Amino acid sequence: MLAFERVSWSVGGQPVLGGVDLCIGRGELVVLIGASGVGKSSVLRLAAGLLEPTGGHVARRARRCAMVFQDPRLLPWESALDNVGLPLEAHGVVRADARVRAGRWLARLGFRAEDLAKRPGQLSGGMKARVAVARAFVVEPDLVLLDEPFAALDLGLRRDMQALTRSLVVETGVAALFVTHDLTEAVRLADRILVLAGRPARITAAIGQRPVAAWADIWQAAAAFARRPDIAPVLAGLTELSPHAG
Amino acid sequence: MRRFLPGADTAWGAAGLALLALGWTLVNWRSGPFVLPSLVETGAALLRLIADGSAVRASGATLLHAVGGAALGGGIGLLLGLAGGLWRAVGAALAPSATAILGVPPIAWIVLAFLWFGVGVTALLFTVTIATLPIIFAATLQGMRARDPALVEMARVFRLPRRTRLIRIILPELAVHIAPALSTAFAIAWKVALTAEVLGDGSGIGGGFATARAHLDLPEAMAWIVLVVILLLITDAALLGPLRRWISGQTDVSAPVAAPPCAGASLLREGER
Repeated sequence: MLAFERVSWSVGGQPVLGGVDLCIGRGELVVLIGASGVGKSSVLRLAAGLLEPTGGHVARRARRCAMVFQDPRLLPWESALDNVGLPLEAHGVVRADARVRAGRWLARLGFRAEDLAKRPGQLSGGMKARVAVARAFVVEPDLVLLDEPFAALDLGLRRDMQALTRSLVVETGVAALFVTHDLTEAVRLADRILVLAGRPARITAAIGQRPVAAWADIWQAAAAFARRPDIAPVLAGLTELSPHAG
Repeated sequence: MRRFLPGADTAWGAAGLALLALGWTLVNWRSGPFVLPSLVETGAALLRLIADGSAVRASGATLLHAVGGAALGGGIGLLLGLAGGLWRAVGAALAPSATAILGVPPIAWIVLAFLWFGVGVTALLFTVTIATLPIIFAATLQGMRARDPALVEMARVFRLPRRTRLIRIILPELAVHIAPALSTAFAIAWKVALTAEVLGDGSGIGGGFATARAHLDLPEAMAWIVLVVILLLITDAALLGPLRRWISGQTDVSAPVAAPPCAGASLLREGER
């Protein structure tokens, strides 16, 4: 669904990404992890077509792409129902049908009937996050891009949304690229984890096996061990695993 | 923050007008009818104007000049502002001209309009249009430049068509910026229309005021002024009130509702795994 072939991107003459390779197939949830400011969001914007690479090639086979942003980016003057139905109406679905489909998605994500007419200013952070997720999935995308969408939520709510997102990806078979700086979140969600690091940034490690969620603490301890100043250079010299075919 | 009810707004407005009427009465009492006729005399003159039909005829003409001209100026200003916001070169090219037009006193535009179009409806509509256009243009352009880039990006990701972006995103975003300018432009439209009528062919409320002034009939002169203020308040409430209430509704939020349980996922809390 999505492939980056030696993609580079610069801003103001400064290279941000230097030769990023990745590919994501249908039904696969790939998590891109890296430090803040390394260029993770730039990778997402390149994937969404919001930016053009300065080198390399981005290949998208997805007919429909959707994105869940770090801030929900809902229209404050429209109800939750109309915010979810907006992309459907924009592409020719009659308003009544769009509202029915939007209502089904919101009900699935735990909205009560009386919440559908509320505007974003009347919703809690968790509800706004659900509206944003519903808006992304209601269009039945082939590719979903998620830019640290749950970073502002509390721990319990974040875990609920992580579990929800994982189940939606499995159920719909969509290809998903999830960006985060939280290793625990990556472990909980990913089929594959790609590590973005360096200046300019590139994929420096790919972890291809999905650990069971109950092993998250062990994984986190292992990650902390890997960051030790005496260990990190040794691991950096290890061969990268090959990414899955798209 | 306490929620301010629309009924309370009306009550406070009425209280403000009542204070104005009290001030009027005090000035009349202190200075006499040749400075400011009393409310009673003014009210009686207004009723006479209504009864003989001259108030209705004049109101119709002034409504056409003021509201018609404001609609033209506002519509053109909005379109030019949208174009200026979408294409930066257009905005940069038009902005200095709009400032120049705004700097020309309305009285000058009235004289020019009479010279160009003769004394009639065309000149009156032109004058009101040219007085209101740059106000709405500037507010629209400013609003377009202040748009939320996050929503612009969201629209691009979801490939929203231009028509959807304009109707569902751009115009609602602009409303907050344009509403104050619309109020200002609307009030100016009435003032310019009245001035042009006074100087022009004697039509409308301005013409009635000019005639009363020439006859030194102060109660009738004040009656014409009261009539135009009433019409301004009514048309402002009817035409701009819905927009203000819509904007007020966007910023008036109730307390956040607790999030319902997420379907299909257990509520895990730290330490409960």
